Parts: sequence; C-alpha cells; structure tokens
Amino acid sequence: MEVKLLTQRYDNPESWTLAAYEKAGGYQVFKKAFAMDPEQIINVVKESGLRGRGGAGFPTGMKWGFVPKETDKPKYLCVNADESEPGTFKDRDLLTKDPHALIEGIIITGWAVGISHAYIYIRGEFGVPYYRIRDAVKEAYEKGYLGRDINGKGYSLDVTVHRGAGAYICGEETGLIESLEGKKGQPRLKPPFPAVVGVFGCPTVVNNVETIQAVPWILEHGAEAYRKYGTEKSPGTKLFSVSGHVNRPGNYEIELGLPCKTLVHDLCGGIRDGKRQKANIVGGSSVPVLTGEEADAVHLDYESCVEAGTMLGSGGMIVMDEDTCMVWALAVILKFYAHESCGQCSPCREGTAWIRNLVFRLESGHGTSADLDKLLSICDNMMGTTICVLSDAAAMPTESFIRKFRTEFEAHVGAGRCPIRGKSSHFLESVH
Amino acid sequence: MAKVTIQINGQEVQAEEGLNLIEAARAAGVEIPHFCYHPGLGVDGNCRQCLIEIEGVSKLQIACNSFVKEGLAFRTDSDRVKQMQAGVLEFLFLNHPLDCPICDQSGECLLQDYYMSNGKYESRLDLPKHHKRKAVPVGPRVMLDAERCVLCTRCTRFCDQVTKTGELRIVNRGYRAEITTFPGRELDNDYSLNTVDICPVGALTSRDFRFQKRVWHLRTAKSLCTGCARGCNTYLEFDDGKAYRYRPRENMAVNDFWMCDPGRVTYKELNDNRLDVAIVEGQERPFHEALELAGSWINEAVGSGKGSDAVVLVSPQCSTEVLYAAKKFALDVLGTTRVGGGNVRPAGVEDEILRRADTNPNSRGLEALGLTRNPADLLSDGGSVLLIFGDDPIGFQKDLADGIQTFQRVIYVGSNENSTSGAAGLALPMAPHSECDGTFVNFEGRVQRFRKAFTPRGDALWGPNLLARIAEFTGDEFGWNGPKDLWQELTSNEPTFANLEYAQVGDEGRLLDAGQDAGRDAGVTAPASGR
Repeated sequence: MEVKLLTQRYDNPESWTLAAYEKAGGYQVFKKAFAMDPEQIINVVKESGLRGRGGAGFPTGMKWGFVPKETDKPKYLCVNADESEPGTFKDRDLLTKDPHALIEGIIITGWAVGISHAYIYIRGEFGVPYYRIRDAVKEAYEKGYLGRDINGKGYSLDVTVHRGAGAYICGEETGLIESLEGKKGQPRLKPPFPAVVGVFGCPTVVNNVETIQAVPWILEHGAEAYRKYGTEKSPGTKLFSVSGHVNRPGNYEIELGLPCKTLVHDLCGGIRDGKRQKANIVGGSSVPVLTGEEADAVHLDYESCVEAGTMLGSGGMIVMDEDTCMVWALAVILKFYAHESCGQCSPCREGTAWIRNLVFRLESGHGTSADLDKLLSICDNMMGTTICVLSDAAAMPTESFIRKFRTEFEAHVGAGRCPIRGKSSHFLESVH
Repeated sequence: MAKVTIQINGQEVQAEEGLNLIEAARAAGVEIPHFCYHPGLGVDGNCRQCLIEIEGVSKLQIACNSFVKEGLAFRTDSDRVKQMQAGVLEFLFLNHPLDCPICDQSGECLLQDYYMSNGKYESRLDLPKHHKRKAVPVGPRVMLDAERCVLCTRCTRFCDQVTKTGELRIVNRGYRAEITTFPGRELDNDYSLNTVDICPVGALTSRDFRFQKRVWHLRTAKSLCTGCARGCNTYLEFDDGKAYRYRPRENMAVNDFWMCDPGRVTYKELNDNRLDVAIVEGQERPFHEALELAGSWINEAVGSGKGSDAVVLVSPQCSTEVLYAAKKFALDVLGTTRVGGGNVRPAGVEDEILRRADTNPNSRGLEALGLTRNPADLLSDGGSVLLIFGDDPIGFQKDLADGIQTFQRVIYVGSNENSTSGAAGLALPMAPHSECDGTFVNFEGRVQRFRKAFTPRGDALWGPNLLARIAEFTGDEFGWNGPKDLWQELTSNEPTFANLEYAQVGDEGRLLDAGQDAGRDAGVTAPASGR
C-alpha cells in the first residue's frame, strides 16, 4: 500500500512554504548531518540501498563515492529536475509541494560530497514547480540555510535554479551538463564520467529530484529504517505516476516490490468503466510494454521488472484499456522520440525517424507485413549502439509492441485505416 | 610508449599502449571503418561506424574511444560487428541522396568505400527521403550540401580546435540536424578548405575544384606548397599536364594534416601565365636559337674579360638544386662571384597555425648555400650580363628595374611570364616544381623533397639542365645526370648539406642541423593516414 515518506507533507495545502516545512520538522536533519563525517553520510546512503530514481536505478551512495576526494577543482551537484519522460510527473509534484525538502537534501548531499555549488536543472515547461523552487531557494538563502558559512559550520553552498529550454535529451545527465554549460544539449561520450569530469570539467554528481529528496528521510531515520521498506535489492519507496485508463490517476508513493496489480486495481481504482487492462507501460514510455496479464503478475521493484522483460524506469506508468489501438499508441511514442533525438549518433538520428515513419504508415493502414520484420531488424541495429540510451528508448517499446501485439499490427496491414479506432491519424502527412 | 601484445581478429600483434584501436588496427593492416574520428581532431564518438567486439565486454564498443592495453583482444570481423557495420552504414545512407554521378566527392568518398567494403546490402527504404539544403555557399571557398552530410562534426571541430574561429555549428535535432554557419557569418578563415579535405563525404566541397575533374582521372605527386617558408607537405593532383589542386599531405613535424587556403591556390601558377617558350626581345623564338643567343652573350662577356662583371640574381623561390647550379654557373662559367639574391616579395600574413611572413619556400636553402644578398646591392654597380633566376623582382619592387636596366644583357630564367620576363632581352622557360624533382629548405631548416608530377610544359627544362644547354655553347664542362647526381655533388661540396642523402630526407624531411631535431621531431609518432 501507500507509504508516505517523501510525500508525508503532501496533505498540508501549504506544504510548499518554508513555515510549513519548518513546522513539520524541516531543516533539522542537515544539522544532524553536519555533525557527521561526510564519509559517514555516504556510508549511510550506501547502506540504505537508495538507488537513482531518474530511471537507471544506479546506487546513489556508490555514485557519490566515485567523486575524487583529493582534487583542487570545485565539485558540483546537478539536481536533475528535467522530468520529461512521457508518463512521468512525480518530480513536478515534489517540486511543487515540497521544494524545501529538496533543498535540505541538497545541503546534506553537498556536505557529504564536498559540493560548493549545486544547480537545479529544471524542465523549461514547468511553471509552478519552477516558481516554487525558485522562491524556496530564495527563502533558504534568507534564512541562512544556503550561502556562506551555513549554520556556523564553515561550509558554504550556493544553489542556482536553471531552466531548460525544452529538450528531453537534457534529462540525460551529460546532455544536462552540456546544456547547463550553455552548449547544445547532447550527451557526452563516456568515459570520462561526470563524477570525474562533469560541469565545467569538474567533478559532478547528477541526481534525480526524488533521489535527493529521499536523502533527508534516510539521514533522519537511518539506513535500517529505510531498508524496512521495499525489497532486499530494491529498498525504500518509489513514486509512481500513474496515467491512462485508470479510475484514479495520479502520483502514488509505494513500497518497492508492491504488486503492480495492487497499484492499478486497488490504489488507482482499477480500469475505467470496468474494462480490461490491455497493456501497461510500467516505467515510462521508453521501457518495454507489458500485456495486461503480465502487468498483473509483476512486482514493482527493479529486479522483478527486469525479470518480466521490462524496467522500473522512472515510474511513469501508462495503463491502456482494451479499446486502445497499440499501433496508434506506438506511433505516438515514436513521434516523441524522433522529435527528441539529439541527432549526434547515426543509428538514433536516422533510426528513430525511420521506425516512426514505418509505424505511421502501418497506423494509416498502408503498411505491409514485411514492415514488421523490417522494424524488428532496424530496432536490433538501434539497441546498444549509441552514446546514450535514447536510441534504445525508441527501439525497446517498438520491439515489445510488435512482439506482444503483432496480430493487431497485422490487422492494420492493407486495411487502409485503423481497424480498431475506425479512422487513422494521418501522421505521415505531417512528416513530409 | 611501451609496446604491448594485443589480439586483433585472433592475430597477436604488438601495439603501442594507450593508442586507440582504430590506429592500432591500422598499424596492423586492419582497416576499421569510421567517419567522425580523425587523428588531427580526436575522438567524438558520434558516427558509431567503428563498433567492434572486445573480448569480455558484452556490448559492442567504438574503436575510436577504446585503447590498447596488455592482453586486449578484439574482433572486427565477427558476425555481430559485420551486422553493425552494415547497419550503421544503412542509417547513414538512409536519407543520403543518390548524387554520386554529380558529386565531386565521388571516388574519394568514405560512404562509397565503406559500402563496397562493409555494406553491399539491398536498400530497405521505401518511404520518401528527408531533404535538406543543397549547394549552399557557406563561405567564399566552401560549398555545403546538407543532405549529403553524415554529421560527423569533423568540420565544426576543425573550426573549434584548429582555427579556433568556430564558424560552423549543427542546428536542429534528430534527423533534421544540419551544419550551418551563424546568421550573417561565413566560413571564411584562412584554413577553411581543410574542412573540405576532412569531410568524409560530399557535404563540403571546394568551390574552386567543384565540377573541374572526376577525381579518378587525377594522378598524384608528393609535392610542397610554395606559398610561404613553412613548406607544407602536399599532394599535387594533376592530369594531362595540368595541375588541379593541392591537398595537404600529413607531416606531423611541419603542417600536421593541414594547409592554408592562400597556399592552396598557388597551384594555379603552375598552369596560368606560364613561360613555356623562349622569348627574345618580345618575340617567340625557337628554343635552340635562344640558347645559342644566351651562349653568345656569355661568350662575348667572358671573352672580353667582362665575365667577372656579370651578375647572377637568384631567388628564394628557386629549388636548392637550381640555386646550386646557378651558383656553380656563376663561379665556373661566368667567373663571377657576384651571385646571390633574397626576398623581393612583400611580407605575408603570419599566424600561430602554419602561415609564415616569409612568402618564399626556400629562403633557408638560399642561406645554406651562402647566397643571401640584398638584390638592390647586388645590382647596384651594373655590368655586362645579368642572369635572373625565377620570381619577379621588377613586379614586386619597382626600384629594382633601374638596377636591372644598367646591365647590357639581361637573361631571365623562370616559369611564369611577368614584368621581369617582359623587361629581359631574353627569357628562357624553366620547369617549376611540379615538373621536376627537387628540394626546398623550410624556415626551420628542414630539407624537404618535392616530386615531379608531369613532364615540363612546352620547351621548359629543369633549371640545371637549362644551364647545361647554355654551357654547350660556351664550351664548358657543366651539367648533371639528373637531380640525384646533382644532389650528390651538392652534399659533398656544400658543408651545410654534408652527408644528407635523399634516403634520409624521406617523406618527413630532415633538419639541416640535426642538433635542432630535438624540437618538433621529438615524440613524433608514426603518421596516420589522415582519413
């Protein structure tokens, strides 16, 4: 069921204010952290098993540990608030409703890793979340939580809120760094990794909003308390943004390992109009799709999702009922990825548009059966061959949609229109 | 760097530790196809064409960003690698226009080469291609065809890293991405044509060379640029006695992979305004008549005891061989010590990349032969016969005309018609560096060879041969059996060049004073092909 660790203050309608946060015990944990050795804090985070909530699920403590201790360069923290994965809207809520918790998380992370400047890179389209975090940073400066000599500890930390300009790829950590530096947002070749060569060539930690926001809770209650939630390998809680054909869409903070069935059918009130769940994309649009039956059987933790042939991703769950045309759904997804490919790697630049066009044609009912195998073959060439995983993010859904709903694709062939929706979207006409 | 043992396609080879795998494979004779990597621009990793399979690593890795270490084993010939080499090519070709019949890159295009070596698949595209801008003049010398571009960013990185002028950028995302300049700005730096060389496809072409010649008709000679004292190594490309272009030939000790735009157009002097017949008092004359006339003028002077009165004005535009022959002709045939010369040209632009203010290719050669004199001083007292070798003293320095006019007889030996050839009573055609073998000594004292591309035009002769033909009329023993013969004599007579054999000069050149070698030569690694 729901476990409210990060979302514990959501019920207060004024939760985003400094007063409300302080009243709820905010800005106390960092003082506790300041009394600890930075290395100790990193160890607590390591022990908690906290994993990156942006999608990749990389262990957070380990990531912090990669930052070189002995360096004369400044170290930076980038909070990735460029939430752009279709289906995901958890960070937007966290920023809107509890911005001060993020700031406290930044202070603790900063102290632990020796950060001198933190950037919050926030998605450009975000309005209210931006104003909330911007004002919260201002308040925190005024209160002396940020700036010179915080809490008389001799530690100084600056925080800058930076708005993106509308590119999905700037949510990829090195694309974010390039964009922050004022360059065209496109991922960097790795190695070197940002922990060694990041923003302005300096060691940099890039963490998702939800990850950083989990830090104060872990420090306050201890690693063991955090591990009480979730599974052995996926401890803690995770926010899921559930959208699509459920009765109660929204953000849900759940224990990792919760059966997907419980989230969809209990917490979200089941499928709209009592219909059947045809498909479920559990972790954001870039992960392989599950059929309704597969989704009902999966547990929502990193390992179980991989076992089921998909990924937990960012927790952007998209539920589709029996009336959904899967070809159309894939066309919409691919329209996004072809538009958002930065264009530097050949397989992604050309591949995303090619498979999009082929699926557009299939959706219009003018494709051929040969297109399906061609798509699978193109996807094979797109996976694991590029600098970042955007190419995979387009290829994985395509591959899984075709494999799991092939008959639906075949029904479109030669039909001249979508047999399920009875009409077609004329996507192709908008391309050329 | 230490040599370690690695395995390429199962074959054990020695490779330099830390070298990237494209270079390591190349050294072992294995070509890994690639577009974005260039040894002069480093690794970018965007084309994904160089994917290889490294033992113990599950995902395919790009060879350009993987490096030699002891025990490393990788394959470029496994089924997975072959699938991806063809797969990446398929992506690159997807929206590439089938322009080859009208594309200047055709014949030297990596897309074509790799399609034949690693592609050969049937096209699977049955949708309309995405179109981009064509024939866009991005600068005064460079033309862009955006749909041919594979977006490897070699050109943008060149302008960022080498010239540091940053004119080129990629705009737009995904399949709409294309190269462009900033609004209102042009690609107009002194090195812009290098972007054409490094462009692996037909996206950037030279406006000068465009539509002039199919490249497979061109033949190539190793040559040198004569635009300044740097002596950039070049390929002179020609067909049927006509030069069509220079391309930089890599020499890490001199010009790396580059050459400047002003230097690049100097090939035109090899074609245009050529002096290829003998001219006597403004009239074209049979060559042997002109030679006889020259011989009689010299005999007249020498016979009347005025030989020591003669002057031989040489130029740092001439090859070391011509300078040596002229020097010897002055001393042995004319019996004069009034031989020498110097720069008559205005100073050029000097920059921190390649260009030198001295616009002569052989000032140091002139100096090494002890021939450096102020031309005005040399001419000041007048005399019986004046022999001028190369360049255009009058055209560049009007004042020198007065000094030249004080001589009774003026013989000009050169390759191009100019003010000086026009003023001389007798003008004889000499083969320029495209038409003979020879050497120049660059500003740092590096002796470099240039090779004959084609036979001399018209009646033109190699300078030393021309003097030998004149000497036939003066009855002197004079002449050599070609450049090698002359070089052998030169190295034994001229102490600065002592023991410097052609073999030592090689393709990289050789510093006159080997003690100076410590400078740029140190740490120079085996040159890569520059592709």
